[in-house]
Amino acid sequence: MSFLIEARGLTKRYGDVVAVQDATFNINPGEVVGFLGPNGAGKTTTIKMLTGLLEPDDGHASIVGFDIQREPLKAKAQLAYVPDTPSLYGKLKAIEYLRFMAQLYHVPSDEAEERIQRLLDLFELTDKAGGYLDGFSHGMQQKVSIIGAFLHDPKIILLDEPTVGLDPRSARLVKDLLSQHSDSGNAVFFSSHILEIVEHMCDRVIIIDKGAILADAAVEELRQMRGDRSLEDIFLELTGGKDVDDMVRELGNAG
Amino acid sequence: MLADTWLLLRLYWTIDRRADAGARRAARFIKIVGVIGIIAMSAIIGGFAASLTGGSAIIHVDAELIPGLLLTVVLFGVVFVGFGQALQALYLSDDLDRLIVAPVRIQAVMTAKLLSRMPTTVTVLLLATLPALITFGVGVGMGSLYYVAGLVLVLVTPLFGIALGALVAMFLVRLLPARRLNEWVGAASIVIGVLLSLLFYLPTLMGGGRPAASAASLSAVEDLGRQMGSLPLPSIWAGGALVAFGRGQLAASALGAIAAYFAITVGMFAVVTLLASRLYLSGWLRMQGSSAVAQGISEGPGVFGGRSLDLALGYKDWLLRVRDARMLATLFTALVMVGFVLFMMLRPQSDGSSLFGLSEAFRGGTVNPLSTGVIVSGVIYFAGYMAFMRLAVTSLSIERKAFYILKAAPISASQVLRAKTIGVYVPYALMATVAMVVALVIARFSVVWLPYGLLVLLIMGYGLLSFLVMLGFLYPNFDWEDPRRMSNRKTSIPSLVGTIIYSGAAFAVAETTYILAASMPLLAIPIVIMGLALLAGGTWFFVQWCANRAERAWPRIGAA
Repeated sequence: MSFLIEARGLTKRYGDVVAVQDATFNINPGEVVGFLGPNGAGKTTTIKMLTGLLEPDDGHASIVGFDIQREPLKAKAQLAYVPDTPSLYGKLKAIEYLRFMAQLYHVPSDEAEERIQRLLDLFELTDKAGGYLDGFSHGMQQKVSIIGAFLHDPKIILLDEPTVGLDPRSARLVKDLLSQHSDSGNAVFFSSHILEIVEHMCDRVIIIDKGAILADAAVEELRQMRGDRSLEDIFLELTGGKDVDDMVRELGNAG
Repeated sequence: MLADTWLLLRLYWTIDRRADAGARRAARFIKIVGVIGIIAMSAIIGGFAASLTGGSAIIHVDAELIPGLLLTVVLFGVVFVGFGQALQALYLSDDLDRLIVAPVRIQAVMTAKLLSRMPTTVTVLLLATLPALITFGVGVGMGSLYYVAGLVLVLVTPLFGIALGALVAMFLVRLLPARRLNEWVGAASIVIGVLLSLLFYLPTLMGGGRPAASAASLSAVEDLGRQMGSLPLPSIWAGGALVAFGRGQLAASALGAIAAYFAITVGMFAVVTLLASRLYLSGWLRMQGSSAVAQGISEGPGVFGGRSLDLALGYKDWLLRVRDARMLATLFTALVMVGFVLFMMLRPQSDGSSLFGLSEAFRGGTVNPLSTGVIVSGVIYFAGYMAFMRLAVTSLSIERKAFYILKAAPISASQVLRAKTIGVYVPYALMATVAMVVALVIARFSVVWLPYGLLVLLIMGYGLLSFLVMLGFLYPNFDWEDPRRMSNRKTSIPSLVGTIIYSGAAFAVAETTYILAASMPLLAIPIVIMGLALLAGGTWFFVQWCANRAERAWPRIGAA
């Protein structure tokens, strides 16, 4: 079976600090995979290594069979990346940014115009598209960033905290779009702190803590393995959540 | 309220101190050199001002006017700086959301925000003003009271500037977005800086080296000083009072002028603080409530819908440049400076000599290696370097935090390098072509050599700009807020060395071709074709080397 993402032994160090240690996993076509971990666990570093934004110190990653380091252009043409903070070109109008993104990913002009118009309508941004991005709120910029990611119909979409800053309607829209995208045989890989979204949307979850992958299984499978408990309990247990419970109890007693 | 203000002030000062402590050694060294430079410049200005009060000076200014003029200039500067600081502190800092919702009085927030920059402003002001006041005082023999009163006046001046600046900022924010205003402040400071530096050359420019014209322009400067001295400004009155104190004349009018200045500066700050809840909070809340105005899609795809990604990338960069007032001002002032330098280089001196006179020295031989055409081409190339160097070196840094967009896209480093180079090269090529044609009319060099000279300029320009853009790949800087701080200082020496080596080698090829072709007219065309092919080939290899360097640097760029 050919994987859309294949990560083998990905390792990244910053001086003495190991940000990611020997991360190995695969993502299959049609899968929506949630990437969970506490703050500073190595989620963003892993995603950046998968997108080619960071060079791993060890290991390698392939996107649709293309090594992201050896054949970066072929690999990058298959993926889209939405970071947690949408740093866009503030002095471009939203419509200019989207057209630029379409051109960057070699989308034919007519096709690009049709997709831009459809996605702007979906996100209710059509009447704002002529405005400068530095006048947009965080949520509106996030929407523009997500629209930009869908323009070239990528095989894989990697998103870092995609629903942060979005209103409930747009968050729902993003979830539906991602599900629809995976139904067409593409893959979605996203990190999130909102366990409800992960539980509801994902076929599989990968849990990372202190740079190491702790679990990689379907949500149901993970539940069965851990005594039919909620994803939140499993997550907290794997990442040291018992300590958190104790602390909360202690705080309650102190109060 | 005082406790809250003090708490916030300590917080801001701790942050500032830690930021200073974290500065690199090179940055600290540059800061120290800058401080020494400011003190020296200030002392020279004071000494020079003192010399203007004597009878034998080239222009004469009354001693009573000079401290007042100095204080007025400082006051205007402080108001301008105060406006920028107030805008930043009151409307654009990151902690405002937290402070506004905290149970802290808005007066405390505003006072702390405004006073947090005071130590820096006072230090800069003392460094910039006191040496001038001291050397002036020593120069005209002032008594000790002059120095004491001068110190007090300088110390209270920032209060006035910050308060007035804040007041103006609070009004303007109701009319224009704070971010846009901040850009315009940056742009204005760039333009003012260049205009002030050009002001020093005003007598030379106006006089053009001719004694009669120089005398007329000096007399105009004298009149300007006198008119400024008669303006009804508290700083002018306070300056006059300072001189009276220095001469031991403790008249009631002098004491009144100093008291008025003191009362106005401190009073202005008090008024602004009292108005805070009405002006500041309402303005801030209004700013939060404003949303992006509905702006639909009116225009067609344009360049972004075209076939060339290189052009789209270059076009995108130019949109970013011309839409940010500060970048636009930097561009504008660079062109003004280029024009000024060219004017100074090419204008005839008072003895009638000029740069073109160099050509005369070689006129006796069969071929003149420094013909007018060669000099014109050299000057245009130099002007192109000056005008486009900064743009080229910062071509990648302009991406700022959006650099990940390019890096995650299916585009190679060499393609980005080419696109960025083309983005700067197109205006260079236009400028070089227009300049060569204009120079042909003015300087009258041989029209036969125009195509050759132009092609040499176009080829060399592409090589040079590729190299400068490549340096931006080796030393990018994405961590900037103000576009004036976009360039990385590490590029300075490599850009100079690389420019000299490439330009020297390319010039040698172009000049040898010209001499050979001019000395063998029958073989001129094949020689010129071979020379141009050699130059283009060498430049092509040079550009490939630049592309390889960019490719090697690419994986590390933005990885921090």
